[in-house]
Amino acid sequence: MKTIVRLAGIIILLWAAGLADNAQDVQTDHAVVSFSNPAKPGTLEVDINEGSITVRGYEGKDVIIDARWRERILTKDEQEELAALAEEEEELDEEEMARKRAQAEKAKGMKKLEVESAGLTIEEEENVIQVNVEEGKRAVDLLIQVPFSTSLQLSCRDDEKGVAVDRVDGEIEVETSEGPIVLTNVSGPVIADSSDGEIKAVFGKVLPGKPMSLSAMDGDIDITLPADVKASLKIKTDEGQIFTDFDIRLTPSQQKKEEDERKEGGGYRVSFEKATLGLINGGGVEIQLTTYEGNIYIRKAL
Amino acid sequence: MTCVTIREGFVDYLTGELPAGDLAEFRGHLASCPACREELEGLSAVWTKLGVLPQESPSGALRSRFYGMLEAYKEGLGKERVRISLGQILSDWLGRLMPRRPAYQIALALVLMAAGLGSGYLMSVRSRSTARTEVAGLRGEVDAMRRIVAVSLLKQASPSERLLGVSWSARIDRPGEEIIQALLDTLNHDANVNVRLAAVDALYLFYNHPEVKEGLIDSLSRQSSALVQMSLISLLVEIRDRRAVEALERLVQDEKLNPKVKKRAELGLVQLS
Amino acid sequence: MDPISDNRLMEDVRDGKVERLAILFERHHIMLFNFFLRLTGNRSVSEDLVQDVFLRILKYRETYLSQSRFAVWMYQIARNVHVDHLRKQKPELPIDEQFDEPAAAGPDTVERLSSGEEAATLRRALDRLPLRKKEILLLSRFQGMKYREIAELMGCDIGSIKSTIHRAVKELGKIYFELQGGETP
Repeated sequence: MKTIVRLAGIIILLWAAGLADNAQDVQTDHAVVSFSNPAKPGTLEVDINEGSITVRGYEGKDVIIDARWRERILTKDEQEELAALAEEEEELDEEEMARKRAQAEKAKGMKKLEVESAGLTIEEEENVIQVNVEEGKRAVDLLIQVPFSTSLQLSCRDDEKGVAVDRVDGEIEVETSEGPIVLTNVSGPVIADSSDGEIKAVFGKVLPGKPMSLSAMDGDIDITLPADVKASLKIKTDEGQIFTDFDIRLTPSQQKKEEDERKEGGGYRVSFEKATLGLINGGGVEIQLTTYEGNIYIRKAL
Repeated sequence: MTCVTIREGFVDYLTGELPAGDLAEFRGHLASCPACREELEGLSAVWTKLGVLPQESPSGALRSRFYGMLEAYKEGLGKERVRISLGQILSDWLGRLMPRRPAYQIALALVLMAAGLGSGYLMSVRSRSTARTEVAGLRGEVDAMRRIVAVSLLKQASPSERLLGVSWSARIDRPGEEIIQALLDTLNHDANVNVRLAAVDALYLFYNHPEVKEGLIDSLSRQSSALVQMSLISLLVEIRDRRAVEALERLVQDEKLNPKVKKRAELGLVQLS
Repeated sequence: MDPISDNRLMEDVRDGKVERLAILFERHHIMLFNFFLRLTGNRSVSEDLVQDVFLRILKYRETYLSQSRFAVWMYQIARNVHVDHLRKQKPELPIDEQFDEPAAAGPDTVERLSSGEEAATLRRALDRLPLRKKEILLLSRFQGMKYREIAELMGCDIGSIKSTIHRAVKELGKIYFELQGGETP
């Protein structure tokens, strides 16, 4: 829970930790963070282990973070109670044990955590906001609203729920291990990779210039592009299949090209592409799609 | 504070330049003055709404043109003791050839130069200052430019720009030590899997360069991403370098290895024996 | 992230290490491009203008004084480049600081830039704002310049910059509202 006060400008940082009622056993946190220079597009970097990240673009200029912890943290009293219980267990008889156990039942669903507090650390510096989970293994589901033009760098290493992004125009860099990556109403460039999850991206528009790359080890890649996009696709897959409803001819490029210019003082060069190439509407933005087993779907937006 | 004073501070408030000390008083006035409040809300709404305007990206040509111009300017500085500005050189002969809107002609010429297509034009400029007309010299110019672009891009924070850097590197005819090293560094240290994958492909094009093969073999033990490992293995098998065998054997013994990668590595060992 | 300041880099460029301009390019060209794009509405023209700015930076690098921020100097050049561009389009019109005619709506203007009705309407509204108001608004809202800097850039006093921004925002709101089909309040 660090804040960095800026020299000029006004930072609105509200840190309100709320404990929802016990029946739900859910803790939520809410924070609003400003960029140093709200006039320029900022960057949001989120790095968590267990949990999910959902980011949505909205009209404002601040970043609004809502966190939902999956496990409730024990207060100091509760921690001490559990510790004492463990100690006593050795010396009690059956009846006493049963009673103590019934008490412990009330604390059901709570696991004793080694750490004092595992909350979010949020730092802002030079228009980059970094969100991390403090030491400790608390799983958290994050819902973050950002200005449309923000660039994102999201990393979610250890969870099934993955990452979802909607209506963000900046550059998007995402990596997950198991969870899926779902991007909607984005314009890229997108650089995404997932070890076990699938990647799905629906582009509202695609700007020329910067290349994109999506890689999935186990999952499928499913992208939807505007019908008039100009793109140069480079697709590599070991065992997956490629499907598209664009009117492109996919040409497998298995050629070996040799150039021997050694006599002129040049070099000897061999290039060997094992990719499938395809031009959409004459070619343009470079989009590289790589899978191992997963299929690749390239859809035309309706 | 009077309404007049408050309204003078509206713009400060919007742009975030209102001194923190005045903020409390400012808010206080607004709380009790509906007229001012309404006025500010109107302004604030428009100010915020402007955030809807997206940040657009220029095309790739913009960067090519810039670096082409920069390189040409540098060359110009080196060749001539007397400082002739680039604009002057080009607009001189361009003015002779195409007497229309000079600014856009300069732009066009620079695009041609950057694409390596304007060899004829470039040479005639050079023959004004020197007498050289070697094609190899020209290729060196284009290469030099690409080198500057590539190295600069590989250092950027944006992974997409680093991808662009890898792709520029791949287009250099004769990469020197600097580029090969930059690509190997990218392969081993770049935070992004996609960029590293692209680096593998780029290095493949230069596998005859002395350090590349060793670098690739060495890299195998450093990679943690399954996709990059697979790509490296395929490549090493194709190059048919027997030094790769040792590295593959070590890899296969790693307990944490993804089983699919292990399968590919074992296959690779068979193919290389 | 390169911690060397813009100022320092430009001083290096001035003193002969011209390749350092590349770093300044990488840092600023996107914002510069968007500045021109919002002024002209035309992508390829905007790219040309960005190129012109850097060309002039090189050409006049020896005149760089590190007193003002590099960005302020750069946007001064940018404004000049834009004005020269306008001059070429309509040579008959006298251009001075008080140029109040709305920006020209040529055939290429308002290219299909990006989707989103709101953004499109906003862009049309911006297009109708008189040039000087538009420039000052953009410099303040998007290029992150302080009044002091804009005043320096444009050669006038801070008070008039502030009131111009105030009026520009108000006027933009009015135009936007009208374009949306509402009635003038």
